[in-house]
Amino acid sequence: MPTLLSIKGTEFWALLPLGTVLAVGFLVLLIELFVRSGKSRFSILPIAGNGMLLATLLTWTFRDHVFCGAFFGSIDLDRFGVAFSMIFTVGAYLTFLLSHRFVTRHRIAEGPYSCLIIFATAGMILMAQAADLLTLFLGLEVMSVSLYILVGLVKADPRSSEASIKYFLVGVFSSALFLYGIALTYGASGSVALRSLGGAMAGEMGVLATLGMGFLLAGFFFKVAAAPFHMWAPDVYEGSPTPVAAFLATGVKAAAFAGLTRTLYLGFPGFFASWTTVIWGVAIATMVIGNLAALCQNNLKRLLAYSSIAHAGILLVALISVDLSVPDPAGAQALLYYLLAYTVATVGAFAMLSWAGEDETTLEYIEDFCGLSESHPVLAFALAVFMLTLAGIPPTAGFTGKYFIFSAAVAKGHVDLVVIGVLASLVSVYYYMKVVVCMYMFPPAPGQPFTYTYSVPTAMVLGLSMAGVVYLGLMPATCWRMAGAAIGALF
Amino acid sequence: MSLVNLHILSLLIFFPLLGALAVAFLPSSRKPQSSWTWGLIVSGLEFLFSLHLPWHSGSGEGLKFAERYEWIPSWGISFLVGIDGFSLYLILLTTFLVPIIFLMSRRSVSTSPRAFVVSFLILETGIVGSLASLDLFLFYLFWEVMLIPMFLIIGIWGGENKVYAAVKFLVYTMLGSVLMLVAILWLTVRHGQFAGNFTFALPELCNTPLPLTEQLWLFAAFGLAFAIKIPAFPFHTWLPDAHTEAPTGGSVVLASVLLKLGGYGFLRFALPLFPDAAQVFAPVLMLSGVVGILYGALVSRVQDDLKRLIAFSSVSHLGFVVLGLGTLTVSGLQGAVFVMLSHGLTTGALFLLVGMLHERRHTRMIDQFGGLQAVIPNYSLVLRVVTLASIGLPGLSGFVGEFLVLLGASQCPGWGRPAMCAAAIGMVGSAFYMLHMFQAVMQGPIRHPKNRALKDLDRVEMGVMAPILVLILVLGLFPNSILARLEPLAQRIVETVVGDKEYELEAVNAAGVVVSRTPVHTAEPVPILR
Repeated sequence: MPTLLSIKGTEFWALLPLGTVLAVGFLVLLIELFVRSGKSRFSILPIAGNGMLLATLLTWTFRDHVFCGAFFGSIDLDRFGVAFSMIFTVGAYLTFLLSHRFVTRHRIAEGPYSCLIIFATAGMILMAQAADLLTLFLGLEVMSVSLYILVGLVKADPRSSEASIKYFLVGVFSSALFLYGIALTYGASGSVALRSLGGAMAGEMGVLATLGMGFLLAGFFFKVAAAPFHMWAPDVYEGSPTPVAAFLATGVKAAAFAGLTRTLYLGFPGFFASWTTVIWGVAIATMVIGNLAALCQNNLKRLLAYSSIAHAGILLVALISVDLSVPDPAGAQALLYYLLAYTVATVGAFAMLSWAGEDETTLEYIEDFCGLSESHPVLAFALAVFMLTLAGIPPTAGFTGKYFIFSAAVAKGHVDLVVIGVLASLVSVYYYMKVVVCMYMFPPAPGQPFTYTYSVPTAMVLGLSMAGVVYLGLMPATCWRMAGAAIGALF
Repeated sequence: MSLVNLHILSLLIFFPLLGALAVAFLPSSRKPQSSWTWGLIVSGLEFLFSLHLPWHSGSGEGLKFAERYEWIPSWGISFLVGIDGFSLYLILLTTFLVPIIFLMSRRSVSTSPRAFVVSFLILETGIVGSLASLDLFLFYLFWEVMLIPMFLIIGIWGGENKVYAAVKFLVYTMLGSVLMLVAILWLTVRHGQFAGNFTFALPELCNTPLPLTEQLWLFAAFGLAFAIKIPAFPFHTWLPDAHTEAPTGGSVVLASVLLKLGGYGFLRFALPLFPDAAQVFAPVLMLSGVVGILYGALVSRVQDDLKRLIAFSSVSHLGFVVLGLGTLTVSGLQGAVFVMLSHGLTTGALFLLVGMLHERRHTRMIDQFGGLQAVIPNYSLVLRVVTLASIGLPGLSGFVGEFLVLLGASQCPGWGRPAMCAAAIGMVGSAFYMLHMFQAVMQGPIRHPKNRALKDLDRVEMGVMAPILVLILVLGLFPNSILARLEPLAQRIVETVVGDKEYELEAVNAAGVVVSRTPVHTAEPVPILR
């Protein structure tokens, strides 16, 4: 029987990203305690943001100190965990850069706001490193509970409260499903550790195991917003504060995919055929519904929500374009690459939204951007590039990512999925181009000139995203290799 | 000189892009005129560079001026370019027309000239890149790069209905190209399973022994992309809108070069890669070509907008290209390429002429004109020559290509003869609508008082039209040098598709080093997928 004393000192390496992030979180709480009383104009956001940057750098510096099965086999710090931890911390860093205007305008207390984002990030990291289902659930809950609050931060805005309640109810329901899935899986295999699940249920697909896997999948589908579990996404995105929506669209999606990938590849390799079938159907439904519903949106935030649903469909295609027995991880490698490309482009688009409008006004309808090319050519060009990359038009990151996914899928014989995928992308070109058309081909709406509140951090986000889009689009070799190293940990 | 020779294609592809960047970052305080000057300088230099190609390309059927750099090695993607007779003349046509477009557009385009110049230069990079690419991934990349500038050109500087036309153009063209992407992926994956190495290089993909059913699907996917681009009947419906709404420069580049990429795609990719399927689809191409010829001619006759008339006449002329491709004979393929070149010149000239008229009268409606030849005799003369060339008068460029296509059709067994007869009727039809147009605009009494004050061609306009007229005449009188260069290329395709000969491509750089060639396959084909 292992006891706490049998934990070796080296096991604490496995907590490096998580520990750093949590330390920053508690530091922020402490600082807030002292700053509050003084009523100074001291801002906590830069501390929190740079803390996230520090966590990224530490994780990267010590990327070779991998440690699997730490703490009685509950946490793995492998290359996969390292890669995703870095995506999450960078995502949190970018979110902090976007937050300044929102926080000052709505007089949100910076301390709790920063802490919630940091704790959500910690939850995500835990999900990407989980070696058993209970750790995974712990991460999922830490992430979700923080986000329920973040979504509803603007108490004066009924849309925000509505989004919070909706997200909470749906989220709790999906957590319950997930927990039920864990229980059933445990019943079938007698274990919750991912790596021993596969062995315990080798070859056999009993009722319990099938049900368990189904519930687990359903829980994940809620989190990645895959059809038919996607209905919450548009309302929640629309209602949440813009920086939080950006965090939702990128961090949560990446975390859910990290958990899903770990669970399926490590825990259920024996059931490859059956979960492939399920995901095959869900991917088609998600791509079709996401793209068709996006066609008739005129609110840019809702449009990005449906776009995130559609992209989840394409990521699901990547998830099943692997061969676990050979092993051939091309699809999962493409999934990681695409997540990166999608994150960069989506953060860029949300950055544009987060500084559009002055003082009390927010500009989030597509018509608000009419004639932007004449009044603000640089901004118009930037938003156009983000739309093009989301639509997957070369030579941008979105195209390269889609190309990698579709190529892996064709190699695995999923030509049907690829044809549906490219046709869905064609549909997506139409609605992304609506934004470009508005900016470049229509005159500005009379009496409603486009305004924006300049802030250096937001400009930094825009610049970084632009650079990322171009770099990932034209020079994919390096990141592709890194994605391969990360995904290799699961194969 | 050898350095230039070795990198001439990279230079031609990226020089306009660099020029576009330079123009984009010029200090905006300068006058808008400086954008035009820069555009003219860049495109003029590009034209001079491109003249290097025919002088140093020599003869032989291999791909010349090849260059290869590894790009994404783990996926077998490289920057592989090279040209032969199919692409050479289209590249020259492109670089020749862009300065002309800038010269003409500087008078008519007043809103954001800088963006206009930048869009056109990026478009030029896309066109030259597509024509020079020998790597399928690279080709697809440049193929898509062409879309966005053209979309913006139609949508920003177009006519009343510009947004509708621009979006229709974009969605229609992308419909074809995304399916082509699937086909490219499928082809490379199958080639990888067969040969053991993953590559996108065209010479190495040739002769992949695919079973007929797979070839049919792949040919259909490639063919759809190219047929939409040409556009072959019944995929032509985007063309009239795009042409009518685009600014003059946009119409010229669309008609003269962009459409030709469809025909080029068939010759470079679809026919050699999938020879068995090409044979099955040939009658379909012929039928589509003939229907396009007749339908285009009939619809042109009833147009009241000059630009729309020329747009539909393009459908008719490009029907000859499709028919020529479908005949799968040497003269048919030669004719198809020649029609593309000639149509590029004549239709480009027609759009320019209509643009000049539009600038003077602000209308394109045929019934607003009449009797102009008494007022503007020089314009009338130019239009007369171009009209006759477009109809296919012997001695001018239009005749050679269409005649060769008819000749090819007559040599084609099966449906060749009936197709030839129908297409010949179409040639008469082109005389019918073009002469009707000429008569209605130029001859008869002057009905509108405004037309009495029209100004004749000025020096710039004469200077722009003169080289086009000379080329029309030269192509018509001395077609042989071009045809001789096309013959071995066409011969090779015919032998591959009709006779079961292996298709072998060899890309050689200027120093004589082979950078890519079709391997000799010894392994047995693996026909089963999955």
